[in-house]
Parts: sequence; structure tokens; C-alpha cells
Amino acid sequence: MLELKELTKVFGTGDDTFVAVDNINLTVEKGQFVVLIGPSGCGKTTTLKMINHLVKRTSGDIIINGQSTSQMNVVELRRDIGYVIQSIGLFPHLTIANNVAIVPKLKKASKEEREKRTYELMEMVGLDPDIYAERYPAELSGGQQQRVGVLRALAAEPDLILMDEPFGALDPITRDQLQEEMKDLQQRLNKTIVFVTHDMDEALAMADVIVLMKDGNIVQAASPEEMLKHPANDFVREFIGEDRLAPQPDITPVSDIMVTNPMIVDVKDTPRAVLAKMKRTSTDIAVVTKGSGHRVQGTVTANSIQRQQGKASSVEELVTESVITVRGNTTVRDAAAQLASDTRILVVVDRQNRPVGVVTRAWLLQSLVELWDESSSE
Amino acid sequence: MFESFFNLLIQRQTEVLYALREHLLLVFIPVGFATLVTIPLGILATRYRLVEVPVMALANILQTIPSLALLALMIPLGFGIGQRPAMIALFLYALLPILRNTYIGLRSVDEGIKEAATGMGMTYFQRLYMVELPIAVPVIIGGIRTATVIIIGTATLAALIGGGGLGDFIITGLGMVRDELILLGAIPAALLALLADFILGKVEYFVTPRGLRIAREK
Repeated sequence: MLELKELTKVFGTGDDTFVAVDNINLTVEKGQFVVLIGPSGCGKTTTLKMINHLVKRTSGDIIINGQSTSQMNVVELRRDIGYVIQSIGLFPHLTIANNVAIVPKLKKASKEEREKRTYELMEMVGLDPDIYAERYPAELSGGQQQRVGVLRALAAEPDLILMDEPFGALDPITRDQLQEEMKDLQQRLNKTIVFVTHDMDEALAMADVIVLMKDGNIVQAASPEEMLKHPANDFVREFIGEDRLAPQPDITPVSDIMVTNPMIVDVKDTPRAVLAKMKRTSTDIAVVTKGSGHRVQGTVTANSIQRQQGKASSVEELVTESVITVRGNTTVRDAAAQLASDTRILVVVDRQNRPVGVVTRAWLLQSLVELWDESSSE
Repeated sequence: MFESFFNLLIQRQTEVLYALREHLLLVFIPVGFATLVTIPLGILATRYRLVEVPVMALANILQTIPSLALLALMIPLGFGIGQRPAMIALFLYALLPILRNTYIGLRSVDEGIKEAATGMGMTYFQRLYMVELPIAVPVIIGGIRTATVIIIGTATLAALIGGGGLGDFIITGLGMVRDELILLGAIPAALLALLADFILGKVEYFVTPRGLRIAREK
């Protein structure tokens, strides 16, 4: 959809130059919500504005749908790209309806088409056209104004929308609301969005891909989960902030922390063989499965085998059948609750009830401590 | 004194009306031409620094020359005496208020609005006539209003270089030490200034887009 190739911007001439964007490469897929983030002066806004040629690039190329934008008519290009800015920039002398319809008007859409589209859009974000169409921007709240700002960008049905800190000037509650609406709109309409912000919470809430920039370079481009889990370096860690890196048992799935290679034995195995295997691998608990389907039957512990030594011919007789199984997407918080009251081991199973991992109390505790250490080791 | 003024007014009404007509020409022709010249010049000044610096400097200098001196200067500058040199001087004098307001009006259009307009794909001229001029027009009309009121007053001095108008009565009255004759020029000139200010004030209000009026009332 959108490709930035060795994109560079140098401001100034002669000895007095400043490299705002330094040879960056980035590919954005159709339908992706990409957030450019970084400290002020990192080049995120410059990068954004080079896409619609509000800032002229020094070198490199921008390719939209396989076509280099350097060959395109700048005005036509901009009409095909939605643009939303922090200061909103609604035209104060035009009604809301005329503000929304401005790009279709520039593209010479008929009056009927413009009206129809405007009404549809306004209804989509809950601005009743009968009430608001003929009002003026000054009669709207900040949040409503920026909703109109977003509609104005959507009016000509662009595939690509650029947003430059669009919610930065709004109060926190309105901001949260608009973020949610925007994310919803983007998914519903399958728009590709490049969004600039300096607010990490905003990036985490909205992005499919976060592109963290510093001094004109991309430091890390990754999904929010990936960036939280594996920050590329200290700068990323610092920028994300410790509180966000801390383990979040409410959202972390148990599959992230489980032991992924638990000992699995068959009901037919002899207690002696299982015990030997346990000693070899320093494990004291095994998941017992049955047959070729590997369906979970229960667990068996080293203790119970030792106590019953000689009496049982297979582990089937020693299995504790009250084992609790959970799916991988169970949150760590829920898993911890069960480990605290009901059982000392949870078997994580897949759709076919085959074991994919286990979590014990000790293991859970240890992984939480590790996560904490990682995030606070700075 | 006022009694003799009214008597004189009735007695010489044809002359007064003629002077008034001359005076109106001394105002509207210079202000009209100044408007035609300065609006494009103001637009260019906001766009090109190369135009901005000399144009604004020249307009400022013209304004610092005392109006009487500027009228008198027409003679050594070779324009001679009469209505035409008076109009030229008044035209020069009307430039600054309109130029300044055009420039300020366009300059004060919010940067975000301009960026949005360009970013959405307006050409320079589309942005100018669809966005910047509608927003700046009340300020520009304000400049024309100021210039008109100033020139109505200054035009009374045109009589000094034979430009005619209501100033003729004032100059003659001063020479003959006749107060009622001075008033015969001064009172209509003052009323004219008030009337022009009132009418152009209304114009200013009506050319202000509704959305801007709402914004301003907030």
C-alpha cells in the first residue's frame, strides 16, 4: 500500500543543516494502522508530511500502490489522501456539511453525491445531520469538531489517511472516546492509517504497528505486544516506560508464561520408567495422556509414584483425575486465581484437549518475578 | 452663528451640492483605485517576501508624510494643481490602511486552517478564494472603511492645490474670517465621514461570514 524507501529530509543549506529524517525504510500494508511515535524532533511529523508532499523530501522515494509519488500531481495526490491535524483546521466560515464535503467538491462531485455522502458520514459518527449539518464549527465542542475533521478526511473515500496528533489537543476523556471511535471506523472501513503521536498509551491503544523514531531514524517497528515484550534497546524501554513494561496479568495470556515442554507420559507407561524420566529431567510432575489422540487424563507426581512403588503396573492407577485444564488464551490473572485455590498445576490444552504446556504455582511466581526484573532492571 | 450658517446653507445650496459632489469624487476615486491596487498587492506581500518588504516600507513612508505636505508636493513633482493631482495624493494616502488590513487579514488566518486546506488538495488559488479571502474579508473591508473616513477628512485640504470639494468653503472662510463659511464646508464633511463610517460598518458586518460572526460572539 505505502512504501517509504530510503526517505531523507535535510532542512537548511550549507553548513547550517539539520537531518530531520535519515534514510528510513518502511512498508505499510493495506488496512494497517501504523503509529509513528517518538520524542519531539525525532522526525515523525516530517515523515508524515513527506507522504502528502507538505514537506518536500530531500531524497528517497514514496510509493503508493506501486507508484512513485514523485511522478504524481501533488494536488491530485493530496485529494486522494485523507489528512487530519492536531489544530483540527475546520473552515470557520463554512457549515459542518460544507466542511465535510470540501474534498468531494474539489474533486467535482455533484451536489447530490456530496450531500448524500456527508449525511452518511455524519450519521456514522453520531452527529445528527438534521441538527448539525447547517451549524458552524464554532458551535461545536472540541471533540465534535475533530469528529468533523475526521469525516472531512474520509469524505472522498481515500484508502490512505494521515493523522498528525489528531487528538492531542482534546481532554483525556474525549480523547479516549475518539480513539475508540477511530479504531472502530478504521476496522470497519478497512482504511490504511499513518498516525503521529507522542503518547505511548495512544499508540498502544490504536496501533497494529508502532514505529518508534529517534533522531530521524526508526529505532524499532513492531506490533504493540512485540514492542512491550521485546523492546529493541534501552531507548525503546525508556520510551515505553517502566509502568507499561511491568507484567500485566490482566491481559497477558497464560500461553506467554507456561512451561512449553512439559513431560508427557502415556497411561500405559510403567511407574518405574516415568520416575526414571523424571529424575533425568529434574521434574516432579508429568501430564498423563491417553492413546494417539494425547487427550489429557490427569497428572502424576514423583511423590505418588514413590509412595505406590511396586503396587501399580501402569501410571493409569496413579493419575489424579481432578486436573484442571485451561486454554492458552486464559489470562495470567485467572490462572493465578485457580492456582491459588483449586490446584497446584494447570494443564494448558489446545482445542483438541492435547497438552501444550503446564503452569505450576512455583513457575507462575517465578515468571512474574522475571517479568518484573526485566522491566525494572534499568 | 448657526442661524447665519443655515441661512447661508439655504442661500448657497446649489454650490454646496456641487462641492459635495466634487468631494465625493475626491474620496471614492482615490479609495477605489487604492482598493484595486492594494488588495492584489497585499496578497502578493503575504506570499512573497520580495514584495512584502519594499511595498510595506513604501506604504508606511507615504503615511508618515503629513497630508498637507503630500498634497503640496504634487506641484514640484510636476503634477501641477487641480483635481487630478489632488486625487493622486489622496490615492497615495489611502494605500496604507487598505494594504495593511489586507496583509494582516490574510496573515491572521490560522496556520492550521491553511495547512488543512493545502493538505486536502487545494491549489494556491483555491485556498485563497475558498478559505483565506472569505476569512480575511471583514478585516479588508475594515481597512477600506478606515481609508474612506481618513480621506473624507484629508480631502478638505485638496482645495489648497485647487482640487475643489468642501474644502473650498473652509479655505475661503478662513481667508475672509467668516465662521459660517467655514462651517459650510466643515459640517457636511463631518457628516459625510460619520455616514461613510456607519454604512461601511454595516457592509463590514454583512460581508462577515455567519460562521465567523458566531465564532466572534463566543
